[in-house]
Amino acid sequence: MTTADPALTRPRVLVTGGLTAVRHHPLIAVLAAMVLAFQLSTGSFLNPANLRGIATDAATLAIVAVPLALLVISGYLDLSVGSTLALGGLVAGWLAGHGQSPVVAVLGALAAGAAVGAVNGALCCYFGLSAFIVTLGMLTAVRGLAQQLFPLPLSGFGPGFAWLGGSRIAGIAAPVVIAAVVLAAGALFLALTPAGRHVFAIGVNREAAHLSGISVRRTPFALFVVTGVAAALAGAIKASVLDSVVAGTSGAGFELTVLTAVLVGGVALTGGSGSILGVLLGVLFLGGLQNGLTLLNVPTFWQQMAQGTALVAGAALAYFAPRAAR
Amino acid sequence: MTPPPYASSRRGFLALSAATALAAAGCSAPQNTAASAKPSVSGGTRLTRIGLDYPFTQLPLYSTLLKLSTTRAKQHGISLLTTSDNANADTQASNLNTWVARKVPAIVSFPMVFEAAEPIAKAALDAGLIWVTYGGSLQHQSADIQFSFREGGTLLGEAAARWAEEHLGGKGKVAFLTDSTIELGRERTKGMIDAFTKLAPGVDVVAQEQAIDPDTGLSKAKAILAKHSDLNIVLGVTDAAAYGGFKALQQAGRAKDDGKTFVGGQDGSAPSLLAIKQGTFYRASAALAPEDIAAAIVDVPRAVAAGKSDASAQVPIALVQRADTARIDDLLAQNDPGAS
Amino acid sequence: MTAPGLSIRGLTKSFGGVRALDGVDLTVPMGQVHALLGHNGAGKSTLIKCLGGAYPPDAGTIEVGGVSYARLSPRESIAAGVAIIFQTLSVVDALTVAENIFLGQEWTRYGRIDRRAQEEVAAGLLERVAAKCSPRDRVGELPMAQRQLVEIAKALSRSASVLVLDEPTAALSGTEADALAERVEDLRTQGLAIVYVTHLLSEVERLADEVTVLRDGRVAHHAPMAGRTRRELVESITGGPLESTPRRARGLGRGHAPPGGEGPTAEAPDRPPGRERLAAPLGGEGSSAGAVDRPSGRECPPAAHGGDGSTADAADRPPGRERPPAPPRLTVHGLRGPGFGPVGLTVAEGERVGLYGLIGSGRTRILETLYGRRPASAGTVRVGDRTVTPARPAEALAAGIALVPADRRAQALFPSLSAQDNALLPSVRPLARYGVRALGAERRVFDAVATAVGLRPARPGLPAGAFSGGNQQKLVLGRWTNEARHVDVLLLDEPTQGVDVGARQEIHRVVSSLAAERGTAVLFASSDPEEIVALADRCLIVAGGQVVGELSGAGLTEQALLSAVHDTVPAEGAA
Repeated sequence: MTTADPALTRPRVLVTGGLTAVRHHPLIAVLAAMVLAFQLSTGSFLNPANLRGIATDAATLAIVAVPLALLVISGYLDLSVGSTLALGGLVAGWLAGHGQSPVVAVLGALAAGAAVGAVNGALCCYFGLSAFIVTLGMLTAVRGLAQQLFPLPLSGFGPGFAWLGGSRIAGIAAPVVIAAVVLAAGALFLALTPAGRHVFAIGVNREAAHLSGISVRRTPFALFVVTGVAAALAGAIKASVLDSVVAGTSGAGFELTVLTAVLVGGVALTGGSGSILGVLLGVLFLGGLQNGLTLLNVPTFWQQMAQGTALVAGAALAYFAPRAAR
Repeated sequence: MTPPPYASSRRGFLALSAATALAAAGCSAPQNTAASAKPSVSGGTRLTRIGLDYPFTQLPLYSTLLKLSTTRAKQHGISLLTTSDNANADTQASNLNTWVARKVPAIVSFPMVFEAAEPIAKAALDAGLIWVTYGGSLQHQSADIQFSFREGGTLLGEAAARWAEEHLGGKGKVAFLTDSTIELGRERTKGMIDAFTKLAPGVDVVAQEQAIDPDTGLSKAKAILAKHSDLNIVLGVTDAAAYGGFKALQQAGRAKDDGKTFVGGQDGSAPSLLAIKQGTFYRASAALAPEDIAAAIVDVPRAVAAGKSDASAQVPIALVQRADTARIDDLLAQNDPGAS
Repeated sequence: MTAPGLSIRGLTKSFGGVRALDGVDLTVPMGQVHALLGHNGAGKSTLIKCLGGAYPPDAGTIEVGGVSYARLSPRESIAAGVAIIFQTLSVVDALTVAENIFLGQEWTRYGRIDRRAQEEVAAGLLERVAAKCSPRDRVGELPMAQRQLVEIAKALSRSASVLVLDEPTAALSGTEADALAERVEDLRTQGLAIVYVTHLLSEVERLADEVTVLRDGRVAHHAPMAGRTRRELVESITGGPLESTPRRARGLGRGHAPPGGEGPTAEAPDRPPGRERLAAPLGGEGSSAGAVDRPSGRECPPAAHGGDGSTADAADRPPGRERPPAPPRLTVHGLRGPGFGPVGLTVAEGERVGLYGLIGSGRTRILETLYGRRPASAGTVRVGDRTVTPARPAEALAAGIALVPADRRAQALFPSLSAQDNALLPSVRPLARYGVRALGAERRVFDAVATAVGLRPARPGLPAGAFSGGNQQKLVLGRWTNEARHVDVLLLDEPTQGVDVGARQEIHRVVSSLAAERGTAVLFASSDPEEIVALADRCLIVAGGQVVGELSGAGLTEQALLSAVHDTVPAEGAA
């Protein structure tokens, strides 16, 4: 083994490494099958323009899915992200529409998201309330706040703000670049920081983590804040892309979409397990599925059935395949 | 397991449009058989309270209507009550039942499920209350406020078809952003598609996709553009969805005022009106005037209370295009009553 | 004697190529208690699960009450008369005792549950097992020992003829365990065939008619109990002659406990606890271990001087004084908290002090309060010269105090995380540089600690849940003994609960060498007198939330511990 010619072993390592990855993430195989099927049936699924479209759509999903996945791994949950997204978009749009620089607009949105996250985090981590109840309540409350503050649709944010959603960095759309940074940061956080290990420990056994001297409140609290910030950022990006925001409907249902991506990506709702690669796969799976069905021009209700079925099938495969591989 | 991602928003938008979709003035008034019967108390009774039950609180129109009709009611010494149904039919039913029990003298209700509202309306009439149905008609009612959803779609479809004849020589590609989840969505969709395909048979229909909110409109239009980069026309069942299509075309590199592109929607929502006014390829919206709706909300119950036999109203819908600047400004002002 | 109640022949079961059971024979006649011994992973639980119908055996037969089965479903197993009382009880906390007993076999009358009839029958069954609860009590409010009896009563209600008890005393206090032993003896005379799984040799000696030792899925030893010595049993469990623990040289010749020492020399206290034995050790000969006696409280045992240390006697006789080479590392004065106190104690550098007492005596509370898991209402804690008031475990750790909690599953283990994560979790941050984990250093520290604690298998990536109980405990212990942590005071609560004999020996060795080589002050609580004697230099008797006595030196024997506790029970009740 050790004496083998590296030139010979490298491909083999790549192949076995790839197989290992597939075994750990059977969603890779599902995703590949889906891409193949869509390409064969539509002929345009893999067009660069279409892939760019999928990437920008998936970008906002990924930006929120990463911190949410961390939160779920640590045993918590945030259902309020849909409304936080709306609030972030509204704040950013309002500031931009009132002549503030795009930077100020985005910072304003992030601050609003951080505030929502801090309330969630304080109630769940420091007061020990159920994250499900708290964030479900916040989902409604923040939506109400957003509608009270901005009852009318906002639009016309100016070219400066359009940069956030529309500009290209080295040929890649800004939201995709931001999502890539968030994904990389999430993966590095989990793999390389002590707090990343703590997230898993807290999710597996909170009491044991506490007795191991880990601060079982501060880390999840921070994750709640980061999730709020990320949702607001996604909202600002969506506002920039659409050049408009509507308080009542922006991001409605987003919390379930993003949670689905996280769970399909193999993060356990019970906490303690999951990976950023899985989240990326989940996000791409959802984004690709929606796009492919549109390309195929599948009638609405069939699309819904297909979507639901594909999700269950994907999740089932992700669940059973590793057992079979054993 | 996952619900369709934007289910709730979709429904919301639809409803909004339903609410707003107005029948053109020309439509015949419904036969108000019920109106003749009930409010026998009539004449002398002065209406002091009206309950407005508008379930789609998430829509911008809700805020607008609330302000406009409150103001109008106040002018007549009437106070306006509201429900908070959160677009939930069960909540709506229990809120309405509460109102009937409390004997709110006049109820204007936009039923999410008409069949479910029927017994409540009957109970209201039996209790001697005024029941005005909004957006349709019930068997038991004092009067109704009607919109023709199909008419809005037809106006938009015809305008787009005419434009295609003039600017594309009757050729090109069209995509429809549709809704098939609720009645008014289906009506608007049918009106739009039927009118367009009849008048512009040479234009290829390349897609019909469910979309009522801007997010979905954007991603669907992007997918369609990936396959048909030469798409010319996007027509939306709502302005919000069409606005998403408008952005998708721009992001695909289409100039803002591209002469070979047409986007149109329905509702008359502010971002779309602004885009029309600025001379972009967002060229038309079948718009409702919030003031007309607010007027009907207050005046129809008053007319019933005054004993008029034909109290029902048709709220007009009109196509707004770039030339209609005055109308656009008026609608924008109506949409934002606080600002004016 | 009579017809065999249970007869297992050639039972074989493999999991993915690993033979968990390999041709195991086991015969238990009616009216006998058969002890089943063996390491964790030796095959005991697989055997039980085959018997209960959870696993289908690959080969072999199970004969119950004269009927032979190639495999059993769980339902068939119950119908055949097999009842298994697992460590984790299957009673439903929210139901009453009677409802639990009749769960799934309710008596109905006109379609309704006949509560009265159920309760009458339940009362009879409870009497049969001498339970002290009423049929109407809610099970969740009963102590563990009573719940166990409820479960046994439930088995009797199903006319079980074969009763399997899986480490039934693991969660019980000494007196509770004694009471259970009496019940087992009763049931034997009532003619049940009883399989008794345990790690505790004292229980085997007391109860077993025959004993079978499993090792690596085979029967390593099978014989009638009469005439067996512990040494023989331990050797057949571990599969080799006993090595005496090096560090226990100062073991004062009381090392009859299997892990602790040189077996045969032990003057094993086989006589019933003699009260007179208590006085002698308390008189204070602790010479060789250098133990300090606390004269004040001895003659008037419990409450009177309970606050020892908090006031006069601690003040004017600093405990470290007479032990020149070992200054105090942990000093506690007048510590109080909900349910205990005031407590005063000291542990010198390199000293191992045991806390012995019944369940509910406050041992665990004292340890948890020192560790900051529970709030202290009064008192001072000093580590070396520094006064510390830990309000959270993190603060206790910062002050150099660490705890290995009793309930491994609930409080210590991360079953789905890797062995390395489990052993190194608190060390990841100290090892990190500039906030980035030092992966190389982590692996090095893990390898070192795995070797030090004798982790098997020493695979860093294997999930902790896949290890045996003993190795899981080694991981938890490794959390505080690895080189990246500096622990001045190590607190351990039931350090070897549910751990096999071999691992127990290793854990004791690790703790002892920590004390000897790093001078760590060790304070551990145990309800197992064997363990106290094997591991402690000195033992404090805890009752009613206070330290009521102390044993050290040659006076520290199982006998003395048992008598000390039994003596204090009534006084505690009065206090």
